[in-house]
Amino acid sequence: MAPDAAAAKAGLGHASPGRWSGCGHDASAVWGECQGSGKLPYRTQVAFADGATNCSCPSRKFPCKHALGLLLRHADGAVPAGSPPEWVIGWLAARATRIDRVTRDGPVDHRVRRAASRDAKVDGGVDEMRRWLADLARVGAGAAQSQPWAWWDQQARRMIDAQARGLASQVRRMAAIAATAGQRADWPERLTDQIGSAHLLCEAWRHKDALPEQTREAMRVRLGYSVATEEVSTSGERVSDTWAVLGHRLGEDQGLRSLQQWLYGEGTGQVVTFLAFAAGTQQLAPGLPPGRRTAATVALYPGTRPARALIVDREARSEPLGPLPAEPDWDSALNLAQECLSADPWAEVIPLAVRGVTVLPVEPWLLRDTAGRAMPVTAAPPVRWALLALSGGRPVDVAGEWDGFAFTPQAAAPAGQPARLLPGAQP
Amino acid sequence: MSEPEGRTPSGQQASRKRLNWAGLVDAAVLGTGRAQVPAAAGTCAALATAGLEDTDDQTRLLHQAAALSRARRAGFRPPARSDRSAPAPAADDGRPPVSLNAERRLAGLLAAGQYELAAEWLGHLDGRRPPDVLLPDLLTAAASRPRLRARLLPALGPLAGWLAGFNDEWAWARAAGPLPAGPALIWETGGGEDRRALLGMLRAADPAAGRNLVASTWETDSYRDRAAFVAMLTTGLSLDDEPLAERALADRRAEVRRAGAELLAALPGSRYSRRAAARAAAAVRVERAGLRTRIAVTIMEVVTAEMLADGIEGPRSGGMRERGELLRQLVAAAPAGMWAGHTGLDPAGLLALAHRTDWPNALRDGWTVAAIRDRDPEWVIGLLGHASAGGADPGGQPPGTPRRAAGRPTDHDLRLLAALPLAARQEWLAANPDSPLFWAALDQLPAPWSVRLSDQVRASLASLAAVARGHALGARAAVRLAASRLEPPIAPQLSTAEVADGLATAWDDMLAALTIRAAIRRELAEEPSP
Repeated sequence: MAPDAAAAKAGLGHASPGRWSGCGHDASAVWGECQGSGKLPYRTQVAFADGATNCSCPSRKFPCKHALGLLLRHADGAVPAGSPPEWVIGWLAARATRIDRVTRDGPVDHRVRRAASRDAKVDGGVDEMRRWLADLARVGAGAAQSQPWAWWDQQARRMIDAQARGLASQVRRMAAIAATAGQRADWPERLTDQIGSAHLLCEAWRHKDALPEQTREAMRVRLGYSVATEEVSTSGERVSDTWAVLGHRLGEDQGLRSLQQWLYGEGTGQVVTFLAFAAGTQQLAPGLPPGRRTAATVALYPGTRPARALIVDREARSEPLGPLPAEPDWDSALNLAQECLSADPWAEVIPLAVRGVTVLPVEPWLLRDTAGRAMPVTAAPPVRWALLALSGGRPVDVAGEWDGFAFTPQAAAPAGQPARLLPGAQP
Repeated sequence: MSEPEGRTPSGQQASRKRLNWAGLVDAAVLGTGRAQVPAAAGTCAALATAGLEDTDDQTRLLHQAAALSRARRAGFRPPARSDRSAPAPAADDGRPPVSLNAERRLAGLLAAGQYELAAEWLGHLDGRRPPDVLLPDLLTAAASRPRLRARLLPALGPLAGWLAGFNDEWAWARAAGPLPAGPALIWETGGGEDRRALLGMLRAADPAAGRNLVASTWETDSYRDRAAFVAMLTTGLSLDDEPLAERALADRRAEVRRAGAELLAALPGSRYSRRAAARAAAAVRVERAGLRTRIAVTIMEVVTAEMLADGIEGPRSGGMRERGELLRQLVAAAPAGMWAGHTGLDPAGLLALAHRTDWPNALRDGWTVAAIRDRDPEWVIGLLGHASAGGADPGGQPPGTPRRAAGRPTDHDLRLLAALPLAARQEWLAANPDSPLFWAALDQLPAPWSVRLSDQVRASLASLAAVARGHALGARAAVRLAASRLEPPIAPQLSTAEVADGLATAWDDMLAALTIRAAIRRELAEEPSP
C-alpha cells in the first residue's frame, strides 16, 4: 500500500523498534508514537475498517513512512493489544461521523454526479470550440494569424474554464505558430494541421460512443481528462525492460515546471514517455537518469500513443548508453509512427530513431538516410552543430522527435557506436 | 489512407479545385468567406465525410482539415534528395578520446557558464582530443573569451577546422589542425580574421612563410592591415624580418611606421636598434670621478633626419618638458640589454643614479618601455624593486614622500611584472607576498601556478581570511582567485570556523571549486571505456 518505492523503503526504516513508544492496537485501530527529526514524536494511527491513516508528521504522502512502519510492526506482531489513548479515540470518533455522512449520501453516486457535471461542462466547451473553429474557417487562418496573443489566449482560457485543458493547449499551439509565422514559411500548413487536429478532437467527443476504446481513451486524455496514478499502477499494462533515456526536456510554464523523457525499451522495442509536473517548491519527479540505460518496470497509462509511463520500480544502478535502437531508414521509422497515429490521431510529436543518416548542413538542414530520403531538421543551433560535430561528415545514428513536419534530434552516435544526448537536449 | 492526394474523377467540375492537402491549406488560409471549399473526391471524399453530416462550408472545410491533416501525417515520407551533395568528411583525428565522466564534466561546466574551469579542463587534455560533440559549444564560448580560446587552440584537431568551414563565427578556428592546403589562396581571398589566424599560425610554425605572405600583398593591403600584420611579426621574429620591418618604417602611413619602429626596436642586432643604441649611449653616460659616480645626460639640440626616420619625434620647443620627452624616446628606443655593457652598472645602480639627475622620470619611463618591450628580466625586477622601495618619486617631492597611495598597485607596475616570463613572475611574487602588487598580479597570472607560489598564496590567504573585516571585498576576490588557480587544488590550512564572517560564503564556494578542479584532474586521468 506504499505510494511509491521510496516510501516503502522509508517505511521499512521506520519499522525498527528503537523509534517507537506507546504503541497499541485494538479491534478498530493500531497506534503509536514515532520519534522523528522533530522534538515531539509523531502520533501515527491506522484504522482497520478502511485502512485510513493519520499522522501528525508533515509528509504529503499517504500513507506516510510512519504509518507504513507502524503497520509493518503490527504485521510482525510487535504491537501489543491495549486500549486507545485520548487522541486515537478522538480521531476514530471524528471519522465515524464523516463516514456516516458519506455513506448516507452514497460515495459512488457522488463520484458519478461529479463526472456527469464535468462531462456537461466539456460538452459546452466542445460546442464553443466548434463555433470558434467554424469562425476561424470562415475568416481564414491568414486573418487569424495576425491576431494578437490576447485573442488566442482568451479562447484558451474559455477552454480551461470548460475543463477542457487539452483544447486550451491546442489553441496555445496555434497561437505559437501564428506568433512565429514570420520565421517559418510552412506556418499555413502547420496552422491548418492544428485546426484539423482540434476539429477532430471535437468531433470525436461528439461521437465518442462510436469510437474504439483505445481511441476514446486517447481522446479523453487529449481533451484534458486525467487518469489517476493509483489506477495506472494497479491496472495499467506493465512493461519490464532496460530503458535508454534518449530524450530529456525540462520546461517551465507559468510557474509549473515539467519534465518529459523518451524511454526506449531495448528488449521490447517499445518507446514510452515519462511526464512529471511540479509547482512552487514541489520536487519534480526525476524520471530515469538521462543519457543512460536503466532496468525498470513501468505501468502504461491508457489511451495516448506513444504511451505515457509510470515508473513502478527501477534498479538503482544505471549504465552508459549503448548503440541506438534505430530503424534502417526514415520509411520504416515512419511506418512505426503511422501505427501510433492510427491508435491516437492526436499524437503531436512522435519519437523516431534512424541509423546511418548524413547531415546536410546547408539551410534548410536535412538528414539523408541510406535510401536517399532527406528529413528536414528543426532544432536550436547548438543542437544542430553538436550533431554535425558528432558526425564529422560521416553517417550518424539519430533519435529524436518528429512533429509531423520536421525532426528534432535529441540523441546521436557515430554509426553503430555508443550514443549520447546532444548538448542542449541535456539537463 | 496513405494517399492523401485526391484523384479527380472524370466529370468533376473543372472550376472546383481538386481536393488535396495543398489546396486545402490554401482554402484554410483564405477562409470560406473568400475561397471555395475544395470538393471532396475519391478516397478523400470517403475520408472527409465518413459518418459526418455535410453541412455548411466552414464545417466542410474543418472536416476536410481533420481528415487530411491526419492522413498527411500518417502518409508523410520525406522526399528523396539526391540533388544536395554532402560535405566531404573531416580528416581523422588520431588522438584518443577522454573518459565519459570527463566528457560529462565538461558538458556541465559549459552549460553552467563556468568557462574558467572549462579552460582548466582543456589544459589537462594531455594529448587526447576534446569531445567531438562539445566542440561547437567550445568554439562558440571561445569566440568571445580570449583566455578560453588560448587554451582551446592548441587542443583543436582537424574536426574544428572542418566545422568552422560551416560557421563564420568560428573562422578563427579554420586554421586548426594540419596546415591548410593553399595558404596563398586563403591569404589572397580570405577575410581579415582568416588572414590573421593564418599568419599567426604560420609565424609560429614557419616564420619565413608568414613573412613572404605579408610581403606578397604589401602593395595592395590597407594601411590598417599592414600595421596589424607587422605587429604580428613579433611571433617568430628574427633578423630575416628586418628588410620587411624597414619597409614598414619607411611607409607613408604613420600607423605602419610606428609598428615598424616597434618591431625593429624589439629586434636586437637590427640596424635600427644599433642606431638607437648609439643615440642613447651618446645621450646617457656614466662618469666616475674618484669614489663618485654620476650619470651625465646630454640631449642633442638638433633632431636629425635619421632620428625622424626612426620615428623619434623632435621637441617643438626647448623647454625642460619637451627635452625630457626626447630623452625618454631615445632611451625607450634603445635595447634594454645595452646598458650593462655601456655603463658597467646594473639596473638598480642606474636607477639610483638617475634619481640624482634632472631627468629621473624621463630615464625611468624610457627604461620601463624598453624593459617591457624586450621582456628583460633584470630590468623588470630592477624597476619593480625601485618602485616598491619608493625610490622613484617624481622630481620636486622631498625624498621619502610616498610616490602613490600605499597598497595601490598601478597599471604601470602590473605591466612591468607582466613582461616577466611566467616562471620568473611566479618566483618574484612568491618572494614578495607583501608587495601591493601581490593580489592584483596574481589575478593576471594564468593557471597553473607553481607549487611554491600556491603554497605562499595559501599562507597569505589563511592570515587574510582570519582577519578580513575591513577589506572583505578585496579578500573575497582573493579567495575566488585562489579557488580557480591553486595548484594542486588543495585548500589552505584553515577550518571554516576560523574564517571571518564576511568571507564564509566565498570560502565555501572556494572549497567546492577546489573539489571540482580535483575531480577534473581525476576524470581526465581515467581511461575511456572502449
